[in-house]
Amino acid sequence: MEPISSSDQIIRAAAALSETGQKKMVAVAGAQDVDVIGALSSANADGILDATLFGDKNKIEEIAAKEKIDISKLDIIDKADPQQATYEAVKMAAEGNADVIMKGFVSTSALLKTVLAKEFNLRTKNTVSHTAVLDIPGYHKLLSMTDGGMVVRPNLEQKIQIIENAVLVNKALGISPVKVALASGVDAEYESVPSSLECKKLIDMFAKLNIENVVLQGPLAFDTATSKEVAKAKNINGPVVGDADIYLVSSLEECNIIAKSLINFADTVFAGVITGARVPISLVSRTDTLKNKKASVSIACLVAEYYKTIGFGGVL
Amino acid sequence: MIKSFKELHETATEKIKADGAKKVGVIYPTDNKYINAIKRAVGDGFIVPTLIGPKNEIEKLSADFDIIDAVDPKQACQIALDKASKNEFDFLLKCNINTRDFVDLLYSDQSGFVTKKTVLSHIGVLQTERYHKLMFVTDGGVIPEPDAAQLINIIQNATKVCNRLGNELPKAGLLAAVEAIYPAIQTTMLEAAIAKMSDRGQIKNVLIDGPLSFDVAIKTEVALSKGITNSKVAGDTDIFVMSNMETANGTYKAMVMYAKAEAASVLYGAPVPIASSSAVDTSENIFNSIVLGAYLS
Repeated sequence: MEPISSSDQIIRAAAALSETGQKKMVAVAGAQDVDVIGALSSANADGILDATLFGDKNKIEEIAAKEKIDISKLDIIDKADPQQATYEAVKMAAEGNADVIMKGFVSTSALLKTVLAKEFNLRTKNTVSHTAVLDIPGYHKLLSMTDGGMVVRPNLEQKIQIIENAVLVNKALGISPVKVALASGVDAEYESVPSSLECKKLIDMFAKLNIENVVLQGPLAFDTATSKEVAKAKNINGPVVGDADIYLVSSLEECNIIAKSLINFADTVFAGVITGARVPISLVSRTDTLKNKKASVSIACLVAEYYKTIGFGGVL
Repeated sequence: MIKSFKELHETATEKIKADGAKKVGVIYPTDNKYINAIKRAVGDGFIVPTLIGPKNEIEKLSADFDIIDAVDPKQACQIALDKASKNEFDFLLKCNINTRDFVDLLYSDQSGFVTKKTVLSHIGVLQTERYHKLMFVTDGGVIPEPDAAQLINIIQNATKVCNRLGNELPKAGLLAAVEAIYPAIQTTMLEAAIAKMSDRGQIKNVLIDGPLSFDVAIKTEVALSKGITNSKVAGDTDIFVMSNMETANGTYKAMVMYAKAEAASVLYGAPVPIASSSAVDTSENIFNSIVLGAYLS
C-alpha cells in the first residue's frame, strides 16, 4: 500500500473501503449535535460510512430540519438521556456491530469512562490519547501531532503509550517505517531543558517493546523535525530529521497551539482520532471545517479497518 | 502604534536620524543570510556593526566589515558580552549560535552580563496577512517551564517592547489548550491567577486575559461562540504568552516555515537588547530583527 500523504487521500481511502464491501458503521453517543450530524450526513452521502445516531430523536430531527441536513440515510435510535445514549453507542461497538464510536453532545470524559468500563472489554493496556494528523501545505507528508487532547503532562510511560497509539494510526495510513520525532525546543540534550533530557530514556523504553518499523529520534525542534534544509543549516543529522511522521510533544498546550497556528494561518487540514481503546473514537469540534470533520471520521474508519486486519478491534 | 514591519522600518528610520546609527556587536555571522541583512541595515543607516567570529571564514563572505577574530561561537559570545558590558555596543545580534547555547552562556558564572535573577525572554514578532496586527509570541527560547513569577516577567518584557512600539496598552493573551479553567490542567489555574492579578491592577501597562485557546485569542467570533463575551483581549491579542518554551518555539517556527509569516525576534530583559534569529529565518527576517534591535536600543 502506498502511504497516504494528504487529507484528500484519507477521505478517498475511507470511501474506497466502502467500495470493497468494508464500509464502516459509526455509533454516535448523543447525536443531537449539529456538527456531528452535518459531518456524518455528508460523509454518508459520499459513501464513506453508515451511522447509527443514539440520542434525542426530536432534537436530532429539529436540528436537521433547521440546518437542512439530510438524515434520511442515517439510523436514529431515540435515547434522550445522554448517559443511556452513550451506553448504547459503546455497547453497539463492543458487540462488534459498530466500528467507530463518535462523540456527540456528551462530555468527552463521560464517553471515555463508558468506553473504558470493564464490562465492554474495550480497554487496552494503554492510556487513550488523541492524534491530530496534519496535512500541512509545504510539508511533503502528513504529520501526526500528539497528544493535544487527553493527557495534560504525560510522564515517560504515558509518552511511550501515546507513541504506540499514534503509530497504530500511522500504520493504518500505510506509513512504514514510522518516523517519530521526540519534540523539544532544542536539538540536543541540555541540563537546562528538562524535555530534552527524557529522550534517551524514551528511546530505550520504546526499543524494549520490539515494535517493528518504527524509528525514534530526539530531542528535535519543530523546524529540524520537518525540514531537511533547516537541519542541514544546523548540522543535525539522523533518520527522522526533516522527515517526521509523528511529532510527540510534552504538553497538551504544545500540541494544541502549534496545530492551531498551522490550521489558522497555514491552510492546514487535520484529521483527529482518539486511539488506545479497541475501537477508535472520533470527535469533531465546532471550529472544524466540513473537510476537516470528514477527514476525522474517515481516519477513524481507516483505523477501524487496520484494527480488524491486526485482530485488535471488535470483540476479542 | 506600529502594526507592520513596514511601519517599524519607517519609525526606526526617523529615530535613527535623530539618534545616529547604533553600534551593534554581531555574534558569529558565518552565513550569507546574515551578511546580506547586515549590509542592508548598514546601507539604510541603522547600524555600525562589529563582526565577531572566524575572521578567515567571514572575510570570504565579505571584505566590508571590521572583524574581531573568534575561534568558536562561545568565544564570540563572550567577547560580545564583555564589550556590551563596557557600553561599547548599543545592542547585540545573535547569528550562527543556537539560542540555547547562547542563553546557557549568558547565565553562566563567567558571563558577567546578567545575574541569575535577570529574566530574559525571547519574543518572536510575526506578521501575517491573516491577522490585523503584529503578533508577539513569547517565550520561545529562554525559560523551559516558567513559574508564575517568571511568566509575569515574560509578560512585562513583551509589554515593554510593545509599549516602545507605540502600543501603550497591549493585550496579552495567556494561551492554553482550552479557555475554561480546570483544576486538573495546571496551566489554566496559573493563567487564571495571573489574569486575576491583572484585573486587580497588579500588572501595569498591559491588559491580560487567560486562559485563552489560540482560536479565541485571534478570533472574536470564536470567543463569542464559546460564551466569552467580556474579554478585553480575545480576538485582538498582541502578546501570545505561552505556558512553556516548546510551545512558543514551535509556534514561531510553524508560522515562519508554513504560514510564511514575516518575522523578527529579540531576546529582551538583558542590559542591551539582543536581536535574535533562528535557522528558519530568512535574510529579510534577520534584517527586521536588526531594525527592531536598533529601535529598542
